[in-house]
Amino acid sequence: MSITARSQRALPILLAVILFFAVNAIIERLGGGARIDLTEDGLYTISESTKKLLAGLDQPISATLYFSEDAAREYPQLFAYGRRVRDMLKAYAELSGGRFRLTVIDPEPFSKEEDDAMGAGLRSITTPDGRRIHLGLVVRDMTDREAVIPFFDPQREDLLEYDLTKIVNNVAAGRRPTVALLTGLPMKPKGLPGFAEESDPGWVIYDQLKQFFTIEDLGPGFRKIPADTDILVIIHPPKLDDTQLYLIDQFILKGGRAVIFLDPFSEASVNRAPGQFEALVPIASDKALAPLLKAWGVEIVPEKIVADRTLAQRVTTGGMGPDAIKSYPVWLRVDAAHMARRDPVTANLTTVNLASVGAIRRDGNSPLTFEPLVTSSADSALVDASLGRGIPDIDAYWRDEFKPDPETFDLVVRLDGVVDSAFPDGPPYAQADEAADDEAEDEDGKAADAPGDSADAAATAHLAKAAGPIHVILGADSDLFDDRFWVQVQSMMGQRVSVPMADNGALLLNAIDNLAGSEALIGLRGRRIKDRPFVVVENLRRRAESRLLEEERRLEDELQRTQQRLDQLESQKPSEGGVLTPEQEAEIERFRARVLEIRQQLRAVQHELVADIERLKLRLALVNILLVPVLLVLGALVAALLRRRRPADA
Amino acid sequence: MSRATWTVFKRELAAYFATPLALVFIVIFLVLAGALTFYVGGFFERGQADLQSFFVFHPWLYLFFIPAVAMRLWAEERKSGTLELLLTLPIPFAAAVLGKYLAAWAFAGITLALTAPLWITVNYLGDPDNGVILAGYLGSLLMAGGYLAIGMAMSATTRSQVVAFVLGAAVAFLFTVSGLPIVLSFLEGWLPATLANLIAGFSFLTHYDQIAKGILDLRDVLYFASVIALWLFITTVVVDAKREAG
Repeated sequence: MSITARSQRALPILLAVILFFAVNAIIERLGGGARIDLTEDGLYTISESTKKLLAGLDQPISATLYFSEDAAREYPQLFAYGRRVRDMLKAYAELSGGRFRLTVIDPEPFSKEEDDAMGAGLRSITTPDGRRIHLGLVVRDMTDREAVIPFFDPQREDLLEYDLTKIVNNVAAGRRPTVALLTGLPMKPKGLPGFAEESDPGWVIYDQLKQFFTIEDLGPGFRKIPADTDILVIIHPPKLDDTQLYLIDQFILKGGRAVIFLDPFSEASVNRAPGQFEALVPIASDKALAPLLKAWGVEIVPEKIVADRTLAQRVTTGGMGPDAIKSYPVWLRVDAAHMARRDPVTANLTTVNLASVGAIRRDGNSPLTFEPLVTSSADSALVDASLGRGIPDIDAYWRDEFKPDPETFDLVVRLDGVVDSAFPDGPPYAQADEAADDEAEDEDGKAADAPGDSADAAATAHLAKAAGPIHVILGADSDLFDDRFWVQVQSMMGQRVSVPMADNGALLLNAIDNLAGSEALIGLRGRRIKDRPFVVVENLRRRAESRLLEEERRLEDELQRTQQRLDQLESQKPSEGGVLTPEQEAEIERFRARVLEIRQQLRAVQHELVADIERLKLRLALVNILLVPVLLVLGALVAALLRRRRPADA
Repeated sequence: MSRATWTVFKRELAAYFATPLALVFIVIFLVLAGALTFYVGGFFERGQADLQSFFVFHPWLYLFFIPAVAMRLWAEERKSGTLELLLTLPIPFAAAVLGKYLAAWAFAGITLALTAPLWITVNYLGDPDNGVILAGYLGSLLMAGGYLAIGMAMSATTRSQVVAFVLGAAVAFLFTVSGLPIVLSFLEGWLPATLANLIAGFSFLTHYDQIAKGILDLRDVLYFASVIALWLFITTVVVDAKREAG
């Protein structure tokens, strides 16, 4: 081929390559409108509640996305995620009818844009070669009220829409609901100002509450519930006196709403006080609101917790052996099947982890409608609350204590209806000190004494019966909000990043949000469905465990009996110098052998548990690796044989 | 598909199964894919009902499997002298290229379909998101198409199947690793940053990962389509040149 011919050939190829680059440069800049979401839950599709929120925006909201597209290109995951965030925000802008305005900025290093981004509180990642990658969002309304997402963490990809809608909602809603929080748990961050994060960052749930709501902390000695409170949240309260109970009673009766989580056995208050001996006795709060609950016709079964074999959490008991992981029936991992699917509070939740939870019961004559939100399975029973104390012998518990009760227990319920006050005769201090109270009110200003502290409660008229239906969500556990039961907290590039393992946080946020009446976000929570376990394997493990436990128990009983018999025989041994009859010798030998044999069988039983699962794995691996190849080879051989035979037939 | 393309397609696809070689390829691919999924990807230990530990190996498996499938496409015809015969047939030249390509792609698709037991397995074990799995298969098929177009162009440049395989694997390798940060920081030392960035956007990995997550984005599909179109065009030009050169 001559040189000219060669270059004639090269030219079209060169042109094609240029065209290829040009086409892709254009494709790159296309919006992300044309896409098909193939995920089952529509993880990449904008949901109805977001659409409703965007369509209903009554004032313009501007959003600025800082995305270092050029620098991020080197990090495919981050780059792809940045593009996704951008596309999603573009879709928001389209859906809002012009009310939501999006600006995308790729900040140059050391530019004014970069300064703005950092000034707004955005964070960046620095690449090894010193470039900064920004991927954050600033949302503002007309009055320059501002909210930011400092950095979009790709790990939260499933929650992207939730995060975006949340921030838009927060800026758009103006005032956030005010939550009065009463708790005896160390949820709040503690420490010196400025060093707060280092000393005790508090519980993640508190952080999340703060993101959505204005929190008014009611101290243990509170004497009023702030007037602008939208919702009262009570989680494992300290001991309450009559005045405080009365305040709560009246707040709810006057149309206030409440989310209440009491606990017959608070593991959190045990574990949070290391080194203090008396603190090792867990504090119960199941009776803290007993007078109110009694007036409502509900109760938390006192000093009992629910043990559930089917929903048992799997826990590591230490060691490396096959029995290092066991089912622990007083810690529950409640799945979607045991939560109310139609109720917005639990509809989208996949799992809620509970620890030593109580059971809520309704009196026959309660005036309230009683809708269970979270329940136990039928394979559960009420056991003594003290069982959760110390380090329980799990195996002994399974063997001796556990007798499932066919009824299911209600763990979290929704209560609606008109109730009477727990204080039919008026404020408790009025009864206690009637005369003094009268005087105090006459000579106004003298109401500052201990009973008179409750002037706020007295100032408004006493209600003996609720004016309208009360709305309460009541749960019988408080440990579910402890970080260790539902969230993994990691430090990523100097930030505290929390990745939920269960929807405990969403349960509380949903409950508060639902009662606060802002529906926009409810459809979005708990959307994340990450955990799709091998159900077959889990069931196999559970079945094997309960089957093997029986066998283990039988063997251990036999071992004990044999051992006793052996001891008996040996004690019959004549004292020193005496000789056993050959029969006795043989008997002892036989029992010794039997003991060894039983021990061996016990070990075998324990091995078998793991073996079943290993067998399944091996079988599946073989099927997947070899089945089709073997069939293909056989098919080919048959075909070859047939081909060879055909000419012979002809 | 025109009739001429269809004719070539059928002939080529049948040719794959006429020799035991294709069977060997399929068997090796299936065994490797299965073994990697179970023993390297930790499919069972992860305990999650998805096929992530299966799809993650596809780019690297294709790196060898696809050039092996593509190597004979033109090299063999040229070596055995049947290329002239094919080209003297009264069919448009481009139709022959397309027919051959589609046959090879169909072969790759059949191989991929034979991994269905894994899909059945994961549905037996748990409750997977089958939409995401479907997306994974679609993405994998598109990526196979990209590798195949490259391999086919390489096969057109030489009479030796071995050389075709090596070239195909080498170019495919470049299209795969160009998205890895380590390669990019190396490139940036040599090339202007914009050019290096441009190259990064052309990695198969980036686009494949996007699709395998469960979103079939037009941009990712167009990317693979443009890759395939480019290399098919190059094939046409190269084969045409060789024909004229004899």
